Amino acid sequence: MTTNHRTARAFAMKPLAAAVIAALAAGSALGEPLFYIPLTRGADMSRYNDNVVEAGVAYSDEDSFKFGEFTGMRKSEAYFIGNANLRMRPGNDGTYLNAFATNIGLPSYDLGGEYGRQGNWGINASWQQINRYQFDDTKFIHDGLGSNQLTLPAGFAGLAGQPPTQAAAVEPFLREYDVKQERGILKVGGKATLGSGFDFTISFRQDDRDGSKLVGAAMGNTGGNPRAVIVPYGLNDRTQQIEAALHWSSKDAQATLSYWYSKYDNSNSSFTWQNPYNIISGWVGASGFPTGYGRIGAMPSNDFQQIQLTGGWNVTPTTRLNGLVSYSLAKQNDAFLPYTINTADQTPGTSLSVPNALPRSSLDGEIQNTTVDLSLFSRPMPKVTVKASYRYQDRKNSTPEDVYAYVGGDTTNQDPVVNDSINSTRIRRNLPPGTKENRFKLDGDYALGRGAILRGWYQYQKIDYEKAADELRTDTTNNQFGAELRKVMGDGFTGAVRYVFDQRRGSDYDNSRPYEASFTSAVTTAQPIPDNIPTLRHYFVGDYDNNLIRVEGAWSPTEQLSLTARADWYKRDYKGPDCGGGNDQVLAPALFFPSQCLGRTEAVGESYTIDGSWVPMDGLNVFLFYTYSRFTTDQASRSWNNTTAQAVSEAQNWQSSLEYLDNTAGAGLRYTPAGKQWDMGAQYIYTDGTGKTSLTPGSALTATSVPDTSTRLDSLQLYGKYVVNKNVLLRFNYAYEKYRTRDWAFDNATPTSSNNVLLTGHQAPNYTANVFGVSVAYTGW
Amino acid sequence: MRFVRHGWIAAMQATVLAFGLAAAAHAQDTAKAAPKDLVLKGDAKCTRCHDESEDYPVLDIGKTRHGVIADARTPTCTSCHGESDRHINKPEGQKERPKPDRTFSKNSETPPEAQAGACLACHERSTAHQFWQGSAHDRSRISCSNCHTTHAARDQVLVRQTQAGVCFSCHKEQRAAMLRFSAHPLRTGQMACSSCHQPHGSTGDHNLIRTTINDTCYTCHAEKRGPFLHEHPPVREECTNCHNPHGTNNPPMLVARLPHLCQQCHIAPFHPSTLYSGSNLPPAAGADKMLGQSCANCHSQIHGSNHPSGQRFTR
Repeated sequence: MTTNHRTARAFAMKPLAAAVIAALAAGSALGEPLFYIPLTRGADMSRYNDNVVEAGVAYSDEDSFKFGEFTGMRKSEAYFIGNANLRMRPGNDGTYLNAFATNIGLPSYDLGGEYGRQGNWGINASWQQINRYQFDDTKFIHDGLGSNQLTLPAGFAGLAGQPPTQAAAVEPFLREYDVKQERGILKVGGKATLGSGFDFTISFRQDDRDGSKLVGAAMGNTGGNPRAVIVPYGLNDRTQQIEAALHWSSKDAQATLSYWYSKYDNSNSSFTWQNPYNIISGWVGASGFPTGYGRIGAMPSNDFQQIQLTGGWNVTPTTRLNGLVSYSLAKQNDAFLPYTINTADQTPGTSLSVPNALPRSSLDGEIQNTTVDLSLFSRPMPKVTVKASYRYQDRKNSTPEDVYAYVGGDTTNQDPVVNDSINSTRIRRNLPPGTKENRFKLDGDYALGRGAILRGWYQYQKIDYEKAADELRTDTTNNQFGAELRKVMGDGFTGAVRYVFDQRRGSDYDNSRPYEASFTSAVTTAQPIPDNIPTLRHYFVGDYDNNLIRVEGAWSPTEQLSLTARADWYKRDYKGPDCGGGNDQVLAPALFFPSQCLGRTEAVGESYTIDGSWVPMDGLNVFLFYTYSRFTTDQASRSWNNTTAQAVSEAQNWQSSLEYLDNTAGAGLRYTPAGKQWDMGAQYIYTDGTGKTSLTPGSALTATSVPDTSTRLDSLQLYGKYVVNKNVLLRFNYAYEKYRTRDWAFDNATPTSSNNVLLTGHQAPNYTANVFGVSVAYTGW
Repeated sequence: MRFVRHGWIAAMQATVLAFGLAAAAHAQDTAKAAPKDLVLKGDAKCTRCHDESEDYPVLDIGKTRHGVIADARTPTCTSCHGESDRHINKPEGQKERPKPDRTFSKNSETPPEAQAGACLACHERSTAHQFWQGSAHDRSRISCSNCHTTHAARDQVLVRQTQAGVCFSCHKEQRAAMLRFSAHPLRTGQMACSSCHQPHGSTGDHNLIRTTINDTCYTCHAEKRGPFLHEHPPVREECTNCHNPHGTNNPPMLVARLPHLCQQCHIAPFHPSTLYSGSNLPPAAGADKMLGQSCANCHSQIHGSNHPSGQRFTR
């Protein structure tokens, strides 16, 4: 074991030292579940205690990516169990040397160490491997899977029709390919105390990602003639971050000047695939099979820098002023890809016409973000606290605007002439958004006595959109009022009741602004109804009234029993007062739009939890919890075909209500019988989730009911240990997990089940896993 | 040693036994000389009575950073608990010994701000804690000891794999969310709540480690940072417009299912505004807007596109 030098010396001089050492050794030699799931406090920390080395073997009987999604234990095979925590203080000057390794027998693991002298300097380094095993039942027809260039195999003859009619052409070429991502994270850091109140820290982090992700690769760009295939595209990118901070502190004031640089490098600039579909109506230039290719732009490399000054000052013993000023610059200037890959100079045999050059060779995208945050917190009287805060954030988007005459899905010719008088929806201007935010909050509370505190606050927030002429709204304003009654301290009971009302309003909502800013005037003149129906309100910028209630309490009637409960409920009503009036009528006076706003109309969230812990007898600890949660969103919409008749027809209306219900329960016990060399525990988790989709069609529409989605997890863990001697112990673990899911997006879908899209055949995952583990730990030296 | 116990109970009971065996010798020692410090400078004032037999063993502090006396900043017992003279010298006639000046137990009568004040006396100097006063947890009268176990060799909240269990003491909805189909890997210990949140207070909303929600997400998802030629407005506003980072049953952590989530903003003519229902789902065929990745079967670059032909997020 490791104690500080003086402690060890003290123990050596006293007879009780041996007992203490033995006791601490015993304390670090306890069993815990094989897969620790952080459900409650009071965790057994034995695996993370000082100077523990554990080795063993676990065997899983299940092949399932979902079971091993993040641990990597996804095959039916044996795995090495390896954990270590070494902590040394090799001197009496505060020098420390720590090292750790966690799950080193699994694909997802981490290890690292640190060395330094406490209060003077330190360095650290670690490596964490986080793998994600996503799909193990996906099938594809392309060659080059996992790369950024997919081709079709020899003998493939192309799809002559919709996928459901082409099973015979597809199935001989299907092959399974696992979709997974591997992320390796290297962290290196250091710190030094410079004296005179100054400290310096520096850290470096590098994330390397490899593997593949699924992407929908579509040819053709209108809803009428797309043909897509779901394929894995190769991931190979790196994110590097460095942060350096100079920190100064005195008794009453602190300040930190920091610099953060983040650089994202994608080794792939694009992803291409050979089009498996024969040419169809609307496609030109031999863009179909076998000559045609599609190309998607990969996420562009970019970089970000931020310089930030934070500080705090205890103005008086009861008043503190905090502040932050930061400026950041995000840039992206990857070379643009051509409008399409299917021109004769890039893909032999193809001949899409692209007469107009790109307006620029790269975006030169730039966003500058300036933030100022000030807060004054004070306890002017023993019973009163007050906090006033102000935040200013200017997100200035300097990305240049240009007109791009795009090629639809690598299958269409570009418009031959590009100017504002051309009635073509494929001539578009990019609209880089920027905002300015001002926020003020006043928050105060008063102690009523007997631990009761009454609190209230008001917050004002205004967001101005930088390019008002391009935005749905020129500004939005939030007003929030909150009140809370809280009981703290003593009597074994604490609790709180909170109510918050939050309202967003803003300038007139005008769907036509981004429409007119992005499309040519010839388009907006010819089609006065914007890209969306005028009474649509985007929920992230539209009006809403939000009511939130929270009740929570914790009661400990005895030292052995603790009960807590919490209830959260909120309802956000998006049906703002401006629906159907003002701009809606001005925009299209010849048309009638109903007063009901379209889009998300309401969201309700609620969650109720009870839990408790109990020590019914010495050596026995029990916990139990249950949570019910429900989240719903309602929306109103209108199905229309770009004709005025349908745009104004309430018979085309439809509504949906999406409801997500969850029940989660957990129970566990840990038993440590007196006078025995063993202990044991058990933990059970149950969770089920149901997703309901309710549709209400207008009289001109029809709808078939949508099946529920469901998930159910049963997880049982049994664990125990036997202590061989004070340094050696054996751990025994058994884990059972049963997972059942139903999902209409995947269940019974073959690769050719869908029109327009060649799917992967992936099914909603189910598994039943049994894992046995035994390990030996050496501890407490 | 024949005794083997579980956790602090084992440590306590083992020590009690050993203390019993050693009691005579210890008594002789103390009779001969004034108590000596065991771990910290000046701790004899406390350790002459308090030891590993406490419900809350005190000597483990020697295994923590707070037990390194070579560090000039290291406190002693009274730095946190106060001089506690009435506790040490119980007033005559008083039935129960008064508590120390500051206590940090579950039912402590020391006000939370006074508890926090003991820690802030040193820790407010650090960058991580300078925004504590007035922070959300401070306003809720959470004290440091509600989350931290100062005397333990290993503090649960400081270990990535176990930290969330402490946070879930209050944030119970997040515990349930973590267990849903699609969630960040907290359940398996690859991430912790503090990967995104700064519980001691920050200038960001929701106590996030960065000044905005998106900047916090970009720490690991920098590929979505852009700036893009074609920005998707709700993405640029906040990632949480579409995602619940604590977990949902709608992969990838979406707040609702596609295509209907997309259709809450997209009511353009033809397929964006079409009512999609359960018709033509398997074993029938054809429901291309419902199956697979739904809208993202074609609009796969939904976080933004830098392709000159990516206006519709298909490129």
